[in-house]
Amino acid sequence: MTTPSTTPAVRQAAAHLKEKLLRLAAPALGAEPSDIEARNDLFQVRFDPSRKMSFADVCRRIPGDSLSAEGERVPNYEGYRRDQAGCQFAEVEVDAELGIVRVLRVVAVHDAGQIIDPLTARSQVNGGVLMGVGYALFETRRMDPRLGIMVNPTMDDYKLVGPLDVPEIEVRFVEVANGFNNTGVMGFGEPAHVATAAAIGCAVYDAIGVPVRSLPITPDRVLAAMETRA
Amino acid sequence: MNRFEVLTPADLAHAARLLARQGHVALAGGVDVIDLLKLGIIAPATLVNLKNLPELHGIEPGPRGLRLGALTKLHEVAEHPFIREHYTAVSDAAREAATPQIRNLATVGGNLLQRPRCWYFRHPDVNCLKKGGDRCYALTGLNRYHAILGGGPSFIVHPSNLAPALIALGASARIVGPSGERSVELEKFFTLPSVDPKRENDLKPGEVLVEVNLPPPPAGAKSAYLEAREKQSFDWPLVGAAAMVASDGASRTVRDARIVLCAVAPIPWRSPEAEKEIIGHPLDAERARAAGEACVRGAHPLADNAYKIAMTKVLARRTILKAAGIEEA
Ligand SMILES: Cc1cc2nc3c(=O)[nH]c(=O)nc-3n(C[C@H](O)[C@H](O)[C@H](O)COP(=O)(O)OP(=O)(O)OC[C@H]3O[C@@H](n4cnc5c(N)ncnc54)[C@H](O)[C@@H]3O)c2cc1C
Repeated sequence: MTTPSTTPAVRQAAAHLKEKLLRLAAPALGAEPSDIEARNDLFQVRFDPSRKMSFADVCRRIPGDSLSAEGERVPNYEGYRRDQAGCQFAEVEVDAELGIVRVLRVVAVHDAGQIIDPLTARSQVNGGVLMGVGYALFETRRMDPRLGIMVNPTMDDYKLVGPLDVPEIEVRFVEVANGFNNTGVMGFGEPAHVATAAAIGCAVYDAIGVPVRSLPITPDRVLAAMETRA
Repeated sequence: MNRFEVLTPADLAHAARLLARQGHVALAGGVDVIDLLKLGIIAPATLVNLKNLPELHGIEPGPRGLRLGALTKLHEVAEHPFIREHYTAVSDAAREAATPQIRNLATVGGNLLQRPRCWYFRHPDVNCLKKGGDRCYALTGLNRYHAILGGGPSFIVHPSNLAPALIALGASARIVGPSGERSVELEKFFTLPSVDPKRENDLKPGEVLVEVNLPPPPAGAKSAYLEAREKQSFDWPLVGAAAMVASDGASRTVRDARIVLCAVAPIPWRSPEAEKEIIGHPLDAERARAAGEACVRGAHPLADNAYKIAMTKVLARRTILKAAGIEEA
């Protein structure tokens, strides 16, 4: 939720700052701030483009060293779609005799609203998919019911995905406009993660013909599920 | 972790004398020693670093087989062309072990002498049978990674995947102690918990594992090692199988064979029952399947590890066929 909670405040602060620059430019251009248009490097009067000033010249009018403005994150605007949409596909290979599942490919298609930084957004999906593979196939806290201890509390026993367990990941963003905040950005913490395990579970079902109903989908569970098929 | 000092003797007899003293522990790559120190399972006053002992270094192929110094790194074993060609199971097992970083540090000797991975044994709050406690918690606790063969009173599995491959190729260990040296077949070097649940092998205080020797493989012999893991990186075998198969070319009749399993028993588990199924017969998928079945005939699964029986059958069959170069339909 970092991007949707911070970017609207930043955008509002930027709008207030622009307002202040327009007020600095107005006397020099002999116009009302609302009649001035700021585009690229230029401030110009809307109805008389010959009256213009460069951004640098406007900045020279800043009293002191800097100009500052504040913005706040206002509540979401009512009446707009707020839910994300996405879908994920997993391709798995199951060794039907050993019960070992390998995830070959994950395709993740997501509408997370406006994507501000494609690289980090894609990275967020990659990370979600990786942790999702672990969630689907490996990770679990193993508690000894009698001793009341977790028997796998170390990085050796607690199984996180390793490099060779990483599938090929294809990320597609579908940016559907929404209006619930001023940047159109949506939260994107969990979708790639949660959907991955479900997609892997369904792919395993498709591969072996019977569902494995609990995570992680370990070889013993795959073999047990396949027994019920016969 | 306790305070300790490190001694680095340059003379084998001196090292053996040091290691015979109370509180002295040998240090090779340190992969397991450091873990055990951090877990408080060992608290030595002195670590005896073996790195300066010339007898423990080197890989020497020759007409009488192969000598592997105890300090040979797993990575070197995995990549050595002579080992890959003549002792394929050994290089394959070394390549399957751990991660590249660990294989660059871990030594052959340390691998054979590493302590079990049992999560009760390694848990600092559990005083299990192996640490002098009164019971094996795996027997009635969580035992998905534990023994299906040879267990009791402790149900650990031996962690080395190199050992089964070496045993399949008839390896022996040369050991030097304070009162002389001995050579022992690797197969007989590992000991069951019914003998003593506190140890996994027959190394006595003061003894240094100097080298592992492999005889030339029998004529027409080929070998293979396969294992199944949950994860493909950074994980331990659930089950592994090493096979040496010596057969007559055209008839495929098996003259000699060794089948040794990994991670199913407290020691690397040789299966004479499986060997009997194929020796003297022309090898095909059906024979290999029978050998797989024979491997687990005496198995006693615990609550969570019956899946290992199915896996063992499959891996034994696949490894035998792979060693013999037979493609399954
Ligand atoms: C994440 C991870 C995954 C792993 N996966 C595998 C795997 O899949 N398969 C596998 O087989 N192993 C695996 N290992 C274990 C690893 O291979 C061993 O810990 C390593 O080989 C130990 O070798 P070392 O040289 O570091 O031994 P050290 O830690 O230095 O010594 C181990 C023990 O042997 C004794 N010792 C060592 N050399 C001698 C000698 N020459 N004479 C007498 N005593 C000696 C030491 O005193 C100590 O008790 C894994 C380890 C890790 C951390």
